[in-house]
Amino acid sequence: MATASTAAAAARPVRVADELRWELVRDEWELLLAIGSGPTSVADLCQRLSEPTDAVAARVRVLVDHQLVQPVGDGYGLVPVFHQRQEGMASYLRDMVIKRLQPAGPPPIAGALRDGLGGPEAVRTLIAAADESLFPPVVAAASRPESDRSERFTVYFAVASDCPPAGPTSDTLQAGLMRVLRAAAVQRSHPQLAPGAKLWIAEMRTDPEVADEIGGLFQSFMQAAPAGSGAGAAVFAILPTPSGAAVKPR
Amino acid sequence: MYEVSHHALDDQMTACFDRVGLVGRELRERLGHELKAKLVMSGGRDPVEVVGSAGAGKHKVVEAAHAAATELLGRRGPRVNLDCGSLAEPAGLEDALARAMRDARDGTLVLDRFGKLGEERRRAALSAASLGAGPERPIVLTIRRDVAGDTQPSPAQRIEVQPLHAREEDIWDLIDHFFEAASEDAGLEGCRGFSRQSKADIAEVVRQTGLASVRRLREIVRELVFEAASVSPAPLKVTSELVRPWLEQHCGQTTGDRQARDAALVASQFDALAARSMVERFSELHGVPAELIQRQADLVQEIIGYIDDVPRSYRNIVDRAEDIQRVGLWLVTGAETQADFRRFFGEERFMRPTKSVAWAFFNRVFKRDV
Repeated sequence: MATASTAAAAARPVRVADELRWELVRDEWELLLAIGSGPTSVADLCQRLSEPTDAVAARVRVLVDHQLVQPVGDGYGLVPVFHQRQEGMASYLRDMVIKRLQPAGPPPIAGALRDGLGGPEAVRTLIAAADESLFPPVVAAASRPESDRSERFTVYFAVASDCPPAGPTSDTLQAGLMRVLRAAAVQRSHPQLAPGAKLWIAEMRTDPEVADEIGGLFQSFMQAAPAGSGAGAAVFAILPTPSGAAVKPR
Repeated sequence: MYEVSHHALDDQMTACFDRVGLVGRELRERLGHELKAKLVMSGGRDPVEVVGSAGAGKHKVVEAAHAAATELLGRRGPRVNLDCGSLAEPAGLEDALARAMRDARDGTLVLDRFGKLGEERRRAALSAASLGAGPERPIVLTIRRDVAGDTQPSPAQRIEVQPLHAREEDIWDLIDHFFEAASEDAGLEGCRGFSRQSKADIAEVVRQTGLASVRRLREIVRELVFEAASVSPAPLKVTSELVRPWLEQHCGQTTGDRQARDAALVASQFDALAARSMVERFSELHGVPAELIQRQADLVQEIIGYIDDVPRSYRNIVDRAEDIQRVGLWLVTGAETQADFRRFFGEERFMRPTKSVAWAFFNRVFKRDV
């Protein structure tokens, strides 16, 4: 699993598996999002975060020391990498999904659900296709420079080869999202079942039309996925990140 | 009106919990509801029984309850502890109880190790402690480790303190809390705490060993912090690289244990979210707070637990639950007679139950077979 950042990354970012760096990503999520692709000065950061200069500068230094942030022009920008999850699936989901996807929360701005995507082999092929042709343009779009109109969005994308079917009445998108996320998360937490599932959760700060464009990319990918017999299912949804629901580091 | 008063109560309750150092968001949330329902709303009139396994935090809960009584009920007296486990003779209990009641005037009387008394003496003690009124009568809290052998329903309201291993989020909060104290003792400077992975690993040990004791968790954290302090330079975070070998060596944890635990937690978190959504739906549908719906579900669960004289069939469960609801309504009206009961609902005839309905109600409440 990887989280997308707002880093400017034309080329596909490398993958990094480092527990300490992962911890910093999770602890300093707000600061990293505020830095974005940069260049962002410490003064700008202080203004965005409403925090004193000394404290912010010290935190940025730690991020630079651990290669999460680099000097860009007159300020700083994120180092474009994919950070592989270095914590249990349960705690990660608790912060990124369970605490965010509340039943009374805002509806998705875009989303789609597909059942009947075939068995494990078909799903593995679909995941490979997503890695190859879906995520690179999504990351590129998410990495465009921000503007004053930029907002925070969270993208959920899940694929599972062994997803239980919907209940007797057809799912709402929200219910389908939870159903496929659950199936993908359970599969990903079993090493032998993990290759048949993908869970991709990314938070980004972009303009609303960019979020819409990203929704279009996912929509096209989902529509093009071939049907097959089996319990394979996929879902995506883009939701505005609820204000005040930013994940408190713990 | 509900929103305003309950939010104000919540804030005051939070301040009480902070003051006594109650750590763990699951425990705090649950206890907040329980103390409001069982202590504050009743004005502290009914005894409250705090039940839980050894080391689960019963005494901390009692401390929090006393703080809530002081803050929210305006009690000014002290908290007085009476260790029932050290009272051998029945006469000794009476005297000690009378003395403790006097000492705890306008405060809180805590009957510790209450289970040691045996059922008869417990009932006698509770009824003696219920005498008097106003500041003369302290709030009565009892502490018990085990209620499994009880044959009679307790006359006290019950607050169950879940064992530590059943409180996943609290484990994480407690690890952070104990880290603060231990790192200062160990001189571990510049370290920001345990990584998420290492906290999950420690939580897995707590669950796997069925650890109920907060004290034991503190010891584990302390040992790991001192281990981390021996590394030079001090780590920015205590990661699983250090924690896992220690847990494997001292607690027999394996990679398989960790993976199985993680997978089980993933599924249960989603399921809990689905259950919560249902509570919120009912809350909206019936126009009452979600916490009330949850309390009602907990209450029904508890009522089912007390059905052991007849099979726990649908009919018997519904009958018993309805009877208890009727008893609740009778108590709410404060009626001593059927006429009082009918008058409670208003002066207009159409507002009141008919005499025959009130009669049937009375028979159900007082279990009169007619």
